[in-house]
Amino acid sequence: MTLLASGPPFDAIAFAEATIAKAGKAVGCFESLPVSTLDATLLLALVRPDRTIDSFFAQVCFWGDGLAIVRKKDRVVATMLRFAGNAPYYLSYSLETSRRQAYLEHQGGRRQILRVTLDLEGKEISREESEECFVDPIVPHHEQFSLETGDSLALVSDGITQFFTAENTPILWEKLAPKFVDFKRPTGVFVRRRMNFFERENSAVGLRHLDDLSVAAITLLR
Amino acid sequence: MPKLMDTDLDQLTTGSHYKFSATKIDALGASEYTLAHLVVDESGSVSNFKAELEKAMLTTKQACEKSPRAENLLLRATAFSSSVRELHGFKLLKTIQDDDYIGALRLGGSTALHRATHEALEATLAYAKTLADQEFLTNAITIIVTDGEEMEFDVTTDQIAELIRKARVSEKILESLTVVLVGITGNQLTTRKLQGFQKAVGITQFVDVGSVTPGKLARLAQFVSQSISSTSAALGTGQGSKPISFAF
Repeated sequence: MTLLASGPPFDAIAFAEATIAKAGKAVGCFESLPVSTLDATLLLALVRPDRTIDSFFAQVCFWGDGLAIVRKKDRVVATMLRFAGNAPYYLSYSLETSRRQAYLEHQGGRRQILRVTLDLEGKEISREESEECFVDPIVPHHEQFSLETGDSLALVSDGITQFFTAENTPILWEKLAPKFVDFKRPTGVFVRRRMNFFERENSAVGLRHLDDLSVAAITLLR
Repeated sequence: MPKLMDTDLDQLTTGSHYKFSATKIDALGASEYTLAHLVVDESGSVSNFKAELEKAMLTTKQACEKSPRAENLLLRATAFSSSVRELHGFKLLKTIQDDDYIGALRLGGSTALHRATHEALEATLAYAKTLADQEFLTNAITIIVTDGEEMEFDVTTDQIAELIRKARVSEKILESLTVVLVGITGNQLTTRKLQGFQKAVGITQFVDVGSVTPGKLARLAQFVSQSISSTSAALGTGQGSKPISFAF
């Protein structure tokens, strides 16, 4: 996961190609590592000041599945991207024509977008589901968010969908999303602090997590 | 000359109205901290080795700076005789000056061991609560160094025992609490009384250094810094550190 604060006009496809080419080169240095080592989601947020309305503009690119969560003063806005058959297109497929082709033939090029707005307690305010088809899988899905100072944006891997209660009941990611952006203070390693506390809270009530989980976040300071 | 108010510190008050200072939360960047507290006797009877004791405190701080966990330590130091005095509040090691220790002890008065212990534990618990409220994970070690037994009796052993018990069942505030009492007296009777105090209040470890020599105080600094590092290394495991055995 990558967060970029600002920069020149952004070319998402060039970025994706350069990123996976670089990663492929690194993996190629190790004979025992197959290219599939790089089968992973890449989420990127590009945050720029929006001078016309004295706020910020965040563009989130999804290569693979995952979640973008924005915490505003009074609500939490989240977009989950999923792929048909739970088969996301990983950028590493682009390193081998055969894998890319096999994916497109098998998966069919469909992804689902779920946009949810919650209050700060996690109560759902609105929900919108849609599906989009893609021809060139290296073109990411884009989401846009308007941010103000004090707002936080987190990018979260699909591991958020793999939390279970002590009784083995799945916990909806929508219930958990507000906790991923509930930062007490933006100083230092604030994401690690939040997630460590979240883990301790979960452990105390027997809540389990059965997948790897990645979180990156940015808070716009006042 | 009094020190200027440190703007990186907050002035806090405990439940028993002890005042102490501690690094402002906004200045803390890590996710977890060990609260280490040195409580040192400055009663008149330590006059023969005042300079060595101050040097041992400084050496302790310097040794802690070499620990891989140095960025996760917050160190406080107090001195006590008939009353308790803060030498410096809970501070990041890099912000502690040499003269916080060298020349810092003011000799005289009797030995308010109970109050010094009580004050240290309350300050530790109060700051740990402040940190826990901001989602920091903490554990703590308090090390009390004395050459004498209690002389003031304004705080009971029951009050101290209750505080230690409370700290040990407050995992949400403090993952673990280690309390070490170090006797730097060659007097057998005083040593026995200090051992009695340890047992009465539930202090984790009693270390008998015996009669003071410069060499023993140098080893004491080594023992204290190792105990602090060990406590910090245990943070996140859900357990306290194992007491370190040390030959003096």
